[in-house]
Amino acid sequence: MLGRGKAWLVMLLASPLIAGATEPVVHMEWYASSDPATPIQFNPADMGDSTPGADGSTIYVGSMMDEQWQVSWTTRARSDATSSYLDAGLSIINLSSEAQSFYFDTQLNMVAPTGSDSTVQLDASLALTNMDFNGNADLNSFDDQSIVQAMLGGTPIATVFDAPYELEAVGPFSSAVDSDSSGTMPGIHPADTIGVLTSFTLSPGDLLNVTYVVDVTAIPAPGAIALIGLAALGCRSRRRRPHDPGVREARS
Amino acid sequence: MNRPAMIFTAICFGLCPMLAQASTVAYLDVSTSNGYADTFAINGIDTGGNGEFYGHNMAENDFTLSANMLGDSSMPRLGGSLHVSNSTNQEVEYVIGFLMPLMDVDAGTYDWDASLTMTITGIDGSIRSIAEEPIWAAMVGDHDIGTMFTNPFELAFEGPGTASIDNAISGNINYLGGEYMSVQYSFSLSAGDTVVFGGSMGFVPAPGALCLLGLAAIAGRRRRRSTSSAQAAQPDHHRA
Repeated sequence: MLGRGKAWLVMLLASPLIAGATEPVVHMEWYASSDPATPIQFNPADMGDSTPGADGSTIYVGSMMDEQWQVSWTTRARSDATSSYLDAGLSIINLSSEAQSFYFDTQLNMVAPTGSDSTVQLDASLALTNMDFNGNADLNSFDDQSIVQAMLGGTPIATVFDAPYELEAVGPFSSAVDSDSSGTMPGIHPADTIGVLTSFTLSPGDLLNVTYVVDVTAIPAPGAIALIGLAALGCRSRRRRPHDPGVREARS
Repeated sequence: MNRPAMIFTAICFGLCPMLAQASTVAYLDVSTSNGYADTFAINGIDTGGNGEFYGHNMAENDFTLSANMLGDSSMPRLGGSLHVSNSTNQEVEYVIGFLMPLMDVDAGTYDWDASLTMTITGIDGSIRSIAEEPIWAAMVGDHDIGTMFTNPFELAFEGPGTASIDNAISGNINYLGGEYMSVQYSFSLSAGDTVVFGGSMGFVPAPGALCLLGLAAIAGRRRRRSTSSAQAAQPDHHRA
């Protein structure tokens, strides 16, 4: 019975490591208001390149282009039993001659579903560039939505750059940046996906870089803390036992 | 690779393709302190009034890179984004150059403007200048245009997050000719983090030339509209 119990404990402790070793499941969706062929839904593992990170994450890089727009992404995703992490750099160029609205949605399946026993933090930056020698570059919120929203199970949990929001780069080849953080928020909604939705309206011929980090960390429940404590005590007593005979021999 | 060597390599690489096809060919040069070094020739894609688009994505063992540039070879301007993500568990140095060919640019004195945005993302992230190099340096032909975020420079944050900064410079140039407009990014990036640059630079035409360019743009837009309506039934998404 004791052997079977030990095997169960080893399996329990090892499961996050096994889960963390697998490639995360990520889905993306892209929409451009000028393009009736959008929204386009895709898996970044199939649309672009990827490489594993030394921190257990997977980094996806890719781009798409049409006559009216160009979008590129560098997205890092990681999920294990205690935390899920998503960061990205998105670059969007409005190639049309009119202001255009866009959204880019990224969803990551979490290894361990969260509930109220988790915290969420969203940080984001916007970098707007006027790519031409005339006019200004303008970024506005779209459809009364915050520019960047972190979602748990499709429900907004943290937002930054709330509507109405405007950023302007004035003058030829000019730029403007802005940063914001939600601070640490309680998880509240039970969910098995974490996502980030960015939506905005961008002036013609201009470039927007959106970067964000969303971090969901589980707060261990009292029962789990007790289990971890017992496991730690068990390991310590097992490590002490082999040394005991040696100690007795030295004394004798 | 330093800029003169890169220009020489680019000319050697590019002479044949430039003669063989109508689209311009730009060059992306990437080297890292982990021993990676390569140069890529990138065919331009015509975007109408926005100039030509040059895109390149790559995922290596140690890093990923995404370059998305828009440029105009005849009235020099170049802008776009550059993403670099460090996938290792140690700080890595990167030197990345981008060269765009210049064509039919009249010699003369020009005003120019440039700006750069820099955002880092990750956990306990930092970006630093390396050696004596600025983070950003640009050349037009044989002329040094300017530098931004000169050595020593550091941008950093703690915990999961982002940090961003922007800068702008301007001046005038007595342009006597040259074959390339180039930008070079030199920086050291912390383990497991990503930097995204955005920027643009270019000559600002004199008011008289602006009127002429305006007329040309209107004519170009009319031409593109007639072409677009013919192509609207076949939307084309392709990876750059």
